[in-house]
Amino acid sequence: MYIKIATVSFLLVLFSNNLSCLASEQPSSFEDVRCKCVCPKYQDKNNTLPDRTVYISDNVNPRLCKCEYVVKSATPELCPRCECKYESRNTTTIKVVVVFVICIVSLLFVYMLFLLCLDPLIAHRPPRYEEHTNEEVNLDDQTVRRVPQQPKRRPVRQMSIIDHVKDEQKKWKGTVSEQRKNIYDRHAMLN
Amino acid sequence: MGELGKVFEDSCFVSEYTKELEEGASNIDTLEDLPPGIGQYEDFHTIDWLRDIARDRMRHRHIIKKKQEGCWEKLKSAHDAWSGWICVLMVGVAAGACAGVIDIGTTWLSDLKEGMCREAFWLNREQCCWSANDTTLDDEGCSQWFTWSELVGISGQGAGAFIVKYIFYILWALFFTMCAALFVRVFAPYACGSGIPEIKTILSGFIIRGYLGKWTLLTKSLGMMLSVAGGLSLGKEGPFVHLACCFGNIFSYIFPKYGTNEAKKREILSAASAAGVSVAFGAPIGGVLFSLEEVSYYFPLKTLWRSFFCALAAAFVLRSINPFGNDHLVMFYIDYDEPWYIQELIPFILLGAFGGLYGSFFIKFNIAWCRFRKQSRLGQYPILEVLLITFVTALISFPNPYTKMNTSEMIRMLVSRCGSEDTTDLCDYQRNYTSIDSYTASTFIGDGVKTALWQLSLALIFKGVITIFTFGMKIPSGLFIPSMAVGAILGRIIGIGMEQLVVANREHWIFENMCQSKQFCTITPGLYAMVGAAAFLGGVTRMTVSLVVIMFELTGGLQYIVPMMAAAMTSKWIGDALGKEGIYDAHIRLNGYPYLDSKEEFTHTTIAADVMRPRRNDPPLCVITQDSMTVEETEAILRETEHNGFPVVISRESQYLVGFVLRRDLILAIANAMKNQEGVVSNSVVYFASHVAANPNGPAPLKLRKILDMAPVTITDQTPMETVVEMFRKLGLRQTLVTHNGRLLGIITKKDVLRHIAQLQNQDPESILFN
Repeated sequence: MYIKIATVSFLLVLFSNNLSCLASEQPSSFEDVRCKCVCPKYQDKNNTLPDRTVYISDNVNPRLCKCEYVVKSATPELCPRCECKYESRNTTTIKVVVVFVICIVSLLFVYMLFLLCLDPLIAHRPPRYEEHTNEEVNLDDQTVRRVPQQPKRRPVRQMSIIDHVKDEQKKWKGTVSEQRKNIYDRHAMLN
Repeated sequence: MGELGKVFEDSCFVSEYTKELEEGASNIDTLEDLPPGIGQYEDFHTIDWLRDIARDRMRHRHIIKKKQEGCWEKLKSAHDAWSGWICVLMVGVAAGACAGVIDIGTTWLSDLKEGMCREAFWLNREQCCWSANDTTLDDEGCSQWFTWSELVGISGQGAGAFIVKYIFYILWALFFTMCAALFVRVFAPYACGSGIPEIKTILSGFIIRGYLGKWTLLTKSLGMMLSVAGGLSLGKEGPFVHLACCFGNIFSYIFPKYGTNEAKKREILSAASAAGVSVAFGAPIGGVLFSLEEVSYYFPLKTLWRSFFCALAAAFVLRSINPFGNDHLVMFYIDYDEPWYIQELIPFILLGAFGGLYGSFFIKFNIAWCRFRKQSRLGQYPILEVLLITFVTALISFPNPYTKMNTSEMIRMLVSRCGSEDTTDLCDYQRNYTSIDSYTASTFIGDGVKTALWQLSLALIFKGVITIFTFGMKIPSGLFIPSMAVGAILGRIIGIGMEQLVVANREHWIFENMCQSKQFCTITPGLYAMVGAAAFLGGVTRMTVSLVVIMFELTGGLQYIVPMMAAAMTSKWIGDALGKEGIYDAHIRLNGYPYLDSKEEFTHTTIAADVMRPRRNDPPLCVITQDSMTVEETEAILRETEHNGFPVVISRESQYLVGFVLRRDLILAIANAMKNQEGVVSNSVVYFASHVAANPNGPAPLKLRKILDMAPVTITDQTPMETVVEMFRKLGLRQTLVTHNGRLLGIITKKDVLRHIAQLQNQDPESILFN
C-alpha cells in the first residue's frame, strides 16, 4: 500500500516537474530568494507621502540586498531608515509536499468510496456465483496437477499473497468496526 | 514512581528470595520455550509496572552475563544500550518531517477556501505573493493570487463577487470537514478528538490497542489538515502529541526491548510526546516540560534526557524543512523588545483572572455538552453534527476578517507590533509621519482601529462560544490554538485600551515613568495579546511552567517571562478555585478512564479491608493451589470466573500465599503445553511448586513455575487506604494481595481503588469503565 502511494506520488512529482519546466519558459515570479525592504512612511521636504512601504526584489545577489538597489524611489533621507532582509525559501519542497498530500487524500477518498459503495455489493454476492468460484478453484487444482513443477509455484504464491492481503484487510476491518462500536454506538470512549 | 527502581532492588537483592526469584524471572525472559505472548496484556487492561520493569532488569542482566562470551555478544549488548537513543532519534525525525508536511499542507488547504495561485497551484497565498513586488497586503493578495470570484469570471468588489466568494468559502469548508469526519469514521475511529486525555491514560499504564497504530497515524494527520483547513475553531497542536506517540509506538516495535515490554514502551512514548509539542509549537524545551508536567506519569531522569534529545531532533528536522518560509520554527515569532513597566502588571494579572474564569467556564460547558452528546440522540449523528457546526462556523466567520483568516495567522497578527509595513485596520493610528520614531511610539487610534475593535469583540464572543461546541466532535481537534486565540483577542483589546489610557493621561503621575518624553510613550498591545493567550491557555489546561516556557519559545520574547508567569499563575489560582480539574482531567473523568491522578491527595480514613474483594457476603476468593489441582480443574476455574489473575496458595486449608498468576499467561501456557508437551492431558497435575512429586503411574505433570510471579506485593487488611493509594500511584501496581495473620484474605485491584475514590467523592462508582 505504502509503496504504491510512494511510487504514484513520485510519478506525479516527476510529471509536475516536467510541467513546471515547460511553464518556466515564460518569466515566472516564484523565485526562491528575495530581498525585502521595509521603509517607514516618511514625509520629506517635498511633502510627498510614499504610497507604499514594502519593496520586494527577486533574483538578487545577497550582497546587493540594500535599499539603494531595491527601492526605486529611494531618497537619501529614506534609505537609512529602511530595513532590508535577504530571505530564501524552497518552493520545490512545497510543491512536493502539496502534491503528496493531494495524492494521499485522493487515494484515501477513492478507497473510502470503494469501501462504502462497492464493498457491500461484493460481500453480498448471490450464492450461485460462489459456487462458480469453487468450481474454478477445483479446475485450477487439476490444471496445477497436470503441469510440471516449475510454473506451478507462481500462481500458488500469488494466491497466498492475495490471501494474506485479504486476511490482513479482514482483520483490519474487524478492528475498525470494533472501534466504531466503542465510539459511535456505545459512546464508551473519546466523547 | 521514582521509588520504583529502588524498591525493586531492595526486594531483589536484599531478600532471601534473590536466587530463586532470579531463576524464576530470568526464565520468563530468556528461555525460548515459553509460548509467545506471555507477559503481554489484553486490550483495555492495566499494566503491572513492577513486573515489567523486573522483566526488563532480568533481560538486561542476562545480556551483561553473556557479554563475556565474544565479540558478537558485545556488539549485541552495545546495540541494546543505545537502542533507546536510536529509537527516540527515529521518532524525532519522523515527527519533525510529518509536522513539516502537515504545516505546509494545512496552510495550502486553508487558503484554498479563498482562492488559488493560478500559475503555481501548490503555493498558498503568502507564498504566492512572496516575491511579487506589487503585493498590496490587504485581503486580496497580489496579482498572481486569484480569488474564486475572479476564477469564475466575476471581477471587482461588487456584491456578486462577495456572494461567489462566500459560497465557495462555505462549500470548501463543508467539503474539507466532511472528508475529515468520513475518514475518521471509515478508517480509524480512534483518530478523533485531541488525544491528550487518552495519551495521559495510556502513559499511566493502560492498554488501548490500535490507539497508536498506523491507520490512526495516517487518518489523524490527514484529518488534522482537513479540519483545520475547514475553518473550524480548533487547532492541530494537541493532535501532534498523539501523532508523535503513534510514531513512538510504531518505532518501538523495531526494538524488542521496547516493543514487547509495555512499561519500557512508555518511556519512549513520554519522549515522543515531548517531540509532539516540540514540533507543534517549535518549542523543544517547552515540549520536554509539557511531557513532564502534563502528560507523563512515570518520568525518570533517563527519560528526561531522551525527551530532550527527541525534542531536539524533531525541532531540527522541522527547522530544516522551514515550513513557514520565515526561518523560524513557529508562525508567531515576534521581533520587538519594547520594555514593560511595573504598572502594567495590573492588567496582566487581570488578564490572568479572565483566563481562569474563561477556563472554568469553558470546561464546565464543554463537559456538559459532551455529556449531552454522549447521552442524547445527538451522538447518533456524528457526521451531520460536524457538517452543521462547520456550516454555522463558516457562515458567521466569513464576514468578519478576523474569524475568516486562519486562526494561527490571526494570533500572529495580534501578538505582533504595528510596523511600517502593516496597513491593516488594526494598525490605523493617527501617526505623524514627520518624526522618525513614529512607529515605536503610542498615539491615538484612528477609525480603522475602532472598526477593528468592534470586529475583534464579535470575534471574541464567537470564538469563545463556538469552541465549546467544536471540541469533542468526532474529528481530530486540538484546543491550544482556539483558547490562545480567544485570549489573544481579549489581550489585544485590553492592550489597546491601556495604550489609549496612557496616551490620554500621559501627564498623570501614575503613568509618568511610562513616557520618556511628552511625545514618546511605549505601550505594546501585542504584548498584552501574548499574555492573554498564555492566560487563557493556562485557564483551560491548568499548566504553568510548561505553558510559560512554550509561550516564550513560541514568541521569542525572553524578557516577557515575568508578565506571562504572573498571568499563568493567576489564571491557575482562579481556575482551581472555581473548578478543580483541567480540561484533560475532566475529559478523562467524563470517559471513565482508569487514571489514578497523582496530583490529588487521598485524605479519607478507610482501610484495606473496606476496599478489598471479596466483600463480606461474597463467596470466598478464587485461588489456585500450588501442587494439587489438575489441568481440568484449572480450566474449569478459568471458564467459570472472569478474574484477570489468580493467587496461588499452598493449600486451600492453610491459604498461605505462594505467588500470583495472570489469567492470560495461564491460558496461553496450558494451551501451549497441551499442544506441544508430550503426556500432558486433562488430568495432569499443575505444579507451581519447585518440587514435583514423583508419580510414575499418573500422567506427566505440567510445570508452570515459570509463569508464576513469586513476588506479588502484599499488604495486611489493616493497612490504611492512604498508604495503599500511594503504593498504587508510586509503584504502578496492578493489584495487591491482602493478608490477615499471614493468610491470604483478598485482593485489591487498581479498578477497586478507582471505584473507591469515585465512591468517596459521591460519584457513580460504575462510571469507571475498563478493567
